[in-house]
Order: sequence, then C-alpha cells, then structure tokens
Amino acid sequence: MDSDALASEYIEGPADLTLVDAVHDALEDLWRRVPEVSDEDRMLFALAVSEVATNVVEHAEGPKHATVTVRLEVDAAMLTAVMTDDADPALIRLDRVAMPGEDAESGRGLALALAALDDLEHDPGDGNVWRLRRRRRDA
Amino acid sequence: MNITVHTVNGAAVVAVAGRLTATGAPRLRQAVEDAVAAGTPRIVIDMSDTEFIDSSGLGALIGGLKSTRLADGDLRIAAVPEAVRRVLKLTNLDRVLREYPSAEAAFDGQ
Repeated sequence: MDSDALASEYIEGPADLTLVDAVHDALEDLWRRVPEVSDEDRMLFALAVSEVATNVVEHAEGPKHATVTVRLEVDAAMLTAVMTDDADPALIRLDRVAMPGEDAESGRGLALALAALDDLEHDPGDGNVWRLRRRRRDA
Repeated sequence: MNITVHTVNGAAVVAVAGRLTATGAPRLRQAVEDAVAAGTPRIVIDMSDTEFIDSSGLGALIGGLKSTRLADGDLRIAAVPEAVRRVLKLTNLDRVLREYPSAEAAFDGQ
C-alpha cells in the first residue's frame, strides 16, 4: 500500500464472472472504511471498475484458465484500480471506443468506463494490465 | 441480485433487487423471455431495490425492450433510483427507456 493510501483492497482469482461480484463487494468494504467518499464518486468509480472487470473476464475466459488480480485504492485525492490478467493480450484501441446506438445490446462498457474515469490505460504485454483513475470530486 | 415476478393489471412486474451486472443480466433476460412466452409481453422492470446497473444490465433491458415490442408489448422501467438514471443518461438510453414513478403507473394509460 502507498504511504498516503487511506484504504486498499486486493483480490485474486480465476477469470470468471464471480470476479465482478467480488470487486463490488471489495468496493463496498472500501467505502465502509473511507465513508467520506461521495455517492457520485462511489457510483461512477464502481461503474468503471465493473465494466473493466467484465471486459477482462470476457476476454480471458477459455481453456487457459487465466488468473486476474485487482487492486483498489482510495487516497485523499484519487480512486485507483489496477487489474492484471495472464490471458492473451486483448486487442483494444481505447482511442476508438465510442458509445454505440440506442438499439445495441452490448458495446457500451468501455465507453462508460471512459466517461466515469479521468484516466484509463490498457497495457497489453505478457497478459493485460488495466489502470483506472478517478479524481475525487469531493476532495 | 434477486428477481421476483408478479402480475399487475395484465402486465408482468419484474422486480430487480441488488446489483444488475453481467452476473445477473442473463437471469433478467430469461425472466423477460419467460413472461413474453407466457403471453405477457407488457413488462415493467421495478427498479425500486436496484442498487446498481452497468452496461451488461442495460443490454438486458434493451434486449427485453426489443423482444416485448416484437410481441406487440412493451418494456417500461419504474421507480428508477438516481444511480440507475445517471447511467441511462450517460448512454442516452433515457430516450428509449421511459421511466414511470411506480410499477402500478407504468401501464395505467396503456
């Protein structure tokens, strides 16, 4: 944990949809420990984390049985998440992500994550690393 | 997430409690399909106890909207909390998913 972190959570597990529930539960633990985080910051950060976690699981599911790690952190100014997996690198161009039309049943996830965050990075390499940052508007 | 279904004035009221994410979205799709198959294509999603929604949940709502309209019905959302309304606005889906104050009011004027 960084010296200035107010609270953090760490999750590690197989790349399946139970991860999505696990990150939400971990976020609720974080908010209990740092209750001054505003409802809006909680909601939008949880939205971004939920979207990226779902994306990670959907890309990583398969015979390789990938493992995902998630680190969530709150400090005085910032909400941060780092997700890693050891699946194949995902072919995603964040600069080409756009909100799909009203009829679409999928494809909104990363557009929502970008809208809810100040900074989203995807680093493909030996697996994938995602870095999510939202500046606290209540800080 | 927990789903319960009951009928009010000929419409199926599907109440979604908890977080509507990729974990629960398939169950919502199934509940809507079951209601349509049972001859109740007018469906209200009661969101009074919905704590959170993300794009997977939105996808299930849009899928339900399409399948109910194909069956000459409709899917409407009721008792929408602020956390859900915010996501509908971010995705412009507030234009296609009409919001009603309560499940009972959703099909009042048909």
